[in-house]
Amino acid sequence: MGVDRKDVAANVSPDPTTTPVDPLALSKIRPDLSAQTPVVRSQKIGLLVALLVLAAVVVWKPWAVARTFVLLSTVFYLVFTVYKFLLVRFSIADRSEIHITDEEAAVMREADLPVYSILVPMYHEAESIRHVVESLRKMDYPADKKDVQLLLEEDDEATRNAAAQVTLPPGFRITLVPKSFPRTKPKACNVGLAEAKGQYLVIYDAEDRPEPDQLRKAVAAFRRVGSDVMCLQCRLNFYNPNQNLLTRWFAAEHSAWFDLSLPGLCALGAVIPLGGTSNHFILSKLKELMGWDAYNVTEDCDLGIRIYRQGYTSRMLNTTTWEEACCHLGFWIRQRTRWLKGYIQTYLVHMREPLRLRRELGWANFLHFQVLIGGIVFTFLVNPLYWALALLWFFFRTEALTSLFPWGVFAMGAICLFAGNFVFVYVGAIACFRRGYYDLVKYALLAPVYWMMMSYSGWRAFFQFHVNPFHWEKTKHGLFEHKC
Amino acid sequence: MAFSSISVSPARRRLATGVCLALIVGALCAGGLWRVDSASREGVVCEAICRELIDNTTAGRQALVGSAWWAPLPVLVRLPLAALFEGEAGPVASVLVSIFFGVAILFLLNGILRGWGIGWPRWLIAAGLALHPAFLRACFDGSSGTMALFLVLLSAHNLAQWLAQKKLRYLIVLALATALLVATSVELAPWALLVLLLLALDQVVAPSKRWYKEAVLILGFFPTLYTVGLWMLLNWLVMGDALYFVRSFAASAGRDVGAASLVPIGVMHGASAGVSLLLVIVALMRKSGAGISLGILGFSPLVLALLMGANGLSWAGGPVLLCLFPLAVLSAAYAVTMSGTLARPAAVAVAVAVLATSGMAFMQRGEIRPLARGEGYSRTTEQNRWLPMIERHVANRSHYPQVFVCGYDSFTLLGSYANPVFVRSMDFNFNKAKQDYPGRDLFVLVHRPRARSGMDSVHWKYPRIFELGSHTTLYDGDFGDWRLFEIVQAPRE
Repeated sequence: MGVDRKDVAANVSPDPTTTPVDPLALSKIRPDLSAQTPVVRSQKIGLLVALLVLAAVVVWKPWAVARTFVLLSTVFYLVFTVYKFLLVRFSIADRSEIHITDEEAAVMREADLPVYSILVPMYHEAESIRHVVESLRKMDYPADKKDVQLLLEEDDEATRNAAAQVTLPPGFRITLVPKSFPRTKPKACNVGLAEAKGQYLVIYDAEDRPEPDQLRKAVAAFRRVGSDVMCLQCRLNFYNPNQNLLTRWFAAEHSAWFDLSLPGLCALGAVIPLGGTSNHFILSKLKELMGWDAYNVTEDCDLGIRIYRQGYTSRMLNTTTWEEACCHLGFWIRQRTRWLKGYIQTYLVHMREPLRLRRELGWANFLHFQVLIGGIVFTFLVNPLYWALALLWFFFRTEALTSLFPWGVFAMGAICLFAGNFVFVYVGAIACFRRGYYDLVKYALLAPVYWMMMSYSGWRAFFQFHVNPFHWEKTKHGLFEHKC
Repeated sequence: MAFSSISVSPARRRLATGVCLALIVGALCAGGLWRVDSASREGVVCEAICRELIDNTTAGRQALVGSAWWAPLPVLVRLPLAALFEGEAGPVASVLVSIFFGVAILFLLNGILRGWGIGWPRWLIAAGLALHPAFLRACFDGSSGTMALFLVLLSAHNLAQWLAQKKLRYLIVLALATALLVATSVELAPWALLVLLLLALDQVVAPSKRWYKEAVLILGFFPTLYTVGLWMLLNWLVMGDALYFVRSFAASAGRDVGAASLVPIGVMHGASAGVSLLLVIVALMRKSGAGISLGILGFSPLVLALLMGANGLSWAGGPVLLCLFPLAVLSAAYAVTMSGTLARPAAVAVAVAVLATSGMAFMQRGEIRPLARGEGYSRTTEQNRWLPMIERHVANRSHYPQVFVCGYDSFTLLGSYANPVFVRSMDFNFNKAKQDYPGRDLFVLVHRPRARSGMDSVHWKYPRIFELGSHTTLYDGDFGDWRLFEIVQAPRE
């Protein structure tokens, strides 16, 4: 990794055994790592100066600015395309994830298994209570070693009432999250973290259906890996991929990301932006990091970066959690908006001190961070511009466009447009096949339409970041049982 | 199935591989660059197109996509090297690319044979292929023969592996290889489609679920369909007609008639096809779908070449026939894997047969002669001899001449010759020429429609222009295989 954990640890958090109960601890003790202030003063000044300079240059030499922007973004697209291709290549390598066989998980003696804390944040999820309890009860792990907390908001009467109707098995309890600002999932998780009793901890969403032996596999994996691994990310996929076209696309996307991209990051030893659920942690180290940032709407992605900044690593584990793919377009857009807004937050938080970030992550992970976090947002924002330029070129062939794309830039752009997009679409189809979603392969070929929806969400996220950065657009679940 | 008797440490194997690679590359580069001025016409033209693309000319873009007979991928592969070697004498980039793929073929073959459990005889087999005169010629002549052959072997091997093991990576590689083959050689495009057809047939008879079959066919066919669709899109963008690049298929110019339509099938070709046919028979007895498919693929180039000859395209049979021997080698090697306890002696026998075949080919004068320096195509001949004559002729005829040089042969005639009198035209149109050059005396230079030259757009847009001219042209002279016409215009006041 090239990063000395002693240097990093000297800079950070207090003794994990005396971590305060305050779910906003990170924002109070380490505000430099929290999204509580979306854009700090130095960034505001820097952005303002950059905008003024840019405005002046645009007035002075508009075409030069346009050509420079086209050149830089085309180079980025080319780099991004090659990068994604390499991730796929490394994802099929042997060292891409920790592989625990079913037999290895099954032979572990119950007496040797530690207490495992499970946090399930729930908000307006009354219809999911029974499913959650049943799903976790069925997990192949000793009942007396499961420390399950259903995290309910204090003022969420409906969910509290539904929970009261259910007989909770041993080890299950309800933890009330006091009503306070911000009302976010990471804040609720921090409340649960303070009460957790286990050696390991995992987060599940209300609609999740993890593989029954997932906890055993996680324990086996933690015992196999080195002490620098503090987090195991499981694969996520959907139990309703065929509900409609949107869920098909969503399943194809998740298959490509969790099966053919994240493992590649793992194989490279690169920083992993965690998924929102089924992250398994070593509890003490999670407390050392003061849990999640309550103000970040993609607290998982942010935590994934902070893990590496602290000198720890994350790995992929060969087990899947099945969740519900959002089948309603409106909810999907809101969910995707929140994710991309969170990526913007995460990028700006960690880029407050870029030199320090580079020092803590090392050059390789610093560059991974730029491409994975900043780059993804950038591509979704800029894609519509390039689609428009391509269509204008196809149908009108204006001289202005020709002058924007000198020969070398045009060649790179053509490679990205024709070869790059083919690679992304084909990889999505391959991911579906590998997953066994044979009937989804043909829908994966329509991915460009899905990308347009993601770009729309990206712009929505960009505006929402400025007007309401902490707003958590809740994704409605349970629509699988009730048709969209 | 592996029966290597000597175990070698990975480090020593890597060292040995590295040394072999260096020796092979060095030997081939030395041979190829020694005779770079005798490269094939295809190599010369491809490199010239690269230079036009680097200069960002319309003719370059039109030449890249405008004809199925000049597939775009060989040009694109040469482009980076052409930019590097700009100004060098001879098509250095083309020769280096053909050598590169020649080396790649040998390593691919070695990897395939090792994967099939053939031990040390695989080195002899690879050496036998490497020493075959036809293979060496393809390595040295700067054509796309080795590139196409590499993709052919990749496709054939991966189809066989997919049929035998049903592992996803084989399906993906065969899908991509066939797509790239279609964009590399139109002569082998039917063979590529045969690969996909065999894939589809396997799915039709396989007892799998419908969605699985559908997914396999989508993954298999999509890259090729995308390649063809993209080529059509580029033709629509560049030439204004999505089917421009295939309109020559309906043309009669360039097609042989009578005895000239016979494809030169030699004894070696027949024997190679026979080996593949034998594999089909053996595989049928063993009920091996992979073996049957591999044998069909090995035999089919002969059928394809004969069909091409029957359609007057005998001149296009070269790249197809080049594949026969390597596919026969592959077929023989696969038969070894089905030999059971006789695998080791069978492998040795195959190695001896391959070496003997190459040796016999060398003993035939017809095979070895093209390897000598000075043979093959030389663009300087046309430039040095005919171009000045044409230039003097039109200068004597007019004070303001403009000569349109039509088709891909313009790359060999003009090269990098910079004289504004000559305009390279990949999509010649009489009316447009008159509009774009008012006040000048216009001439059009047309190459004899023989073989691939007959597939140029000027011949299918203006049929029999070489023999009869057109209603707006007057015959003005012959210069080798070039015929000059004056474009008649209304008299000026």
